[in-house]
Amino acid sequence: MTSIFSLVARVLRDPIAIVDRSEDPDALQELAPRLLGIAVVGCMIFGTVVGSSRGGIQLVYAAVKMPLLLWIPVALALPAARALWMACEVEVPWSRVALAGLVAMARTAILAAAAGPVLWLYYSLSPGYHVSVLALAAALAAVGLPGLGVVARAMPAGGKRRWLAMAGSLVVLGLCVAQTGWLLRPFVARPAGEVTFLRPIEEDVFSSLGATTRSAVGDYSQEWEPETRGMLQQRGGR
Amino acid sequence: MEHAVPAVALAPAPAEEDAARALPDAATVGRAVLGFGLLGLCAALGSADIAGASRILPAALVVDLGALVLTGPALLVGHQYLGLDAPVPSLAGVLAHAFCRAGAVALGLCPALLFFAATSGLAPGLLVLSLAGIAFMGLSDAFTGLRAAEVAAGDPKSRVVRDAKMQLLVVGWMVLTALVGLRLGFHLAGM
Repeated sequence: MTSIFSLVARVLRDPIAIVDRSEDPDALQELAPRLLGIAVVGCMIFGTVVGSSRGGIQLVYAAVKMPLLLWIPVALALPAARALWMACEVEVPWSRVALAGLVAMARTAILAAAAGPVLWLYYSLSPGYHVSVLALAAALAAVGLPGLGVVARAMPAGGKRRWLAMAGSLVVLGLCVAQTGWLLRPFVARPAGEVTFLRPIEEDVFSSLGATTRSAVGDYSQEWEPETRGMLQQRGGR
Repeated sequence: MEHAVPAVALAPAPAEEDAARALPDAATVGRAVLGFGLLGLCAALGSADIAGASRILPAALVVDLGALVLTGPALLVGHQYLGLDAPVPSLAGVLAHAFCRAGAVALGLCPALLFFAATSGLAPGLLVLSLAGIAFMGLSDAFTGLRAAEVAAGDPKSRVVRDAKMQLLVVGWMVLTALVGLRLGFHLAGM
């Protein structure tokens, strides 16, 4: 237990020192499950807070889904990030990329858990549904940036056009986080709506964000009608 | 907090520069072709109909490889016409390495694109965005490599003039390549 707490402290204080141990297979074997565990627990705490906006079974649903919101985008974006860094002549081994991703996830999850009371306090004031969703997105962005910083700083020195690799990685990760969040919704359940674990796959995150933003500012002039698109949506529609 | 991470890829030493201008091996080229092929396949899987999928499937490979194959000879001819000194095989090597790096990036983007193809209708748009980014990266890579190849060759006294000529030539070639790539893309899109 003590070692878990000391690992949490190291993840917050000196994450790159942990990533630097990526070349030692024993260290990797020891660190990976612990970091994953920290990430899962931190995310579940944050998810519980988000679920408290509705209460009841939504507490469990949001807590279970929140770790996936972190894990799926990282798994999708890391191959692209490594390819981009390699294209910029920064040779980075898979073990280092994977450990950097794990440390980043753990750091984000710890910060998310720590930010939980702030979000809970806000939700206790009963803000509207759309504002609650935007608050969740803002909180995730705020705790996600320090995690992303770990991946950026973990890359070896040298290479050319590093900014390009960094910008490309950020874009890919950002898009994947946004779409994963959309697929795993609802985290913040609608007050009058039925509570479900997952909603049907429809449209994409950007069409929804536009509609949510318009609704948040009281513009209901355009009705949002989700269309069926994408491979899984076509399968589901048949 | 800054950390001194061991540098793996610093400024290339002369031997590394030679390696960067040698033609890449078949496996590296094959991986790049596979990357572009798979990128198109991932985007095509999200298409609503067969006709759309058949257009999207070859898009990445045709646009990137097609533009390079169609305009690469023009660059080499222009290079010889202007009397520049870099050996033609080294220029071909730089172009091939730029293509291979671009293909590796395409391969890395496949999981993310497949995810979007499976869960949204964004895959074709993201394919266009990916190809634009990959092309920018590949062309800027080629610009640097081609200039370096010319500067490293021939008489040092004429280096400044040759570098200026090479920059003009490469910029012209980059514009031509981008336009040919766009034309191929529009053709595949049925425009």
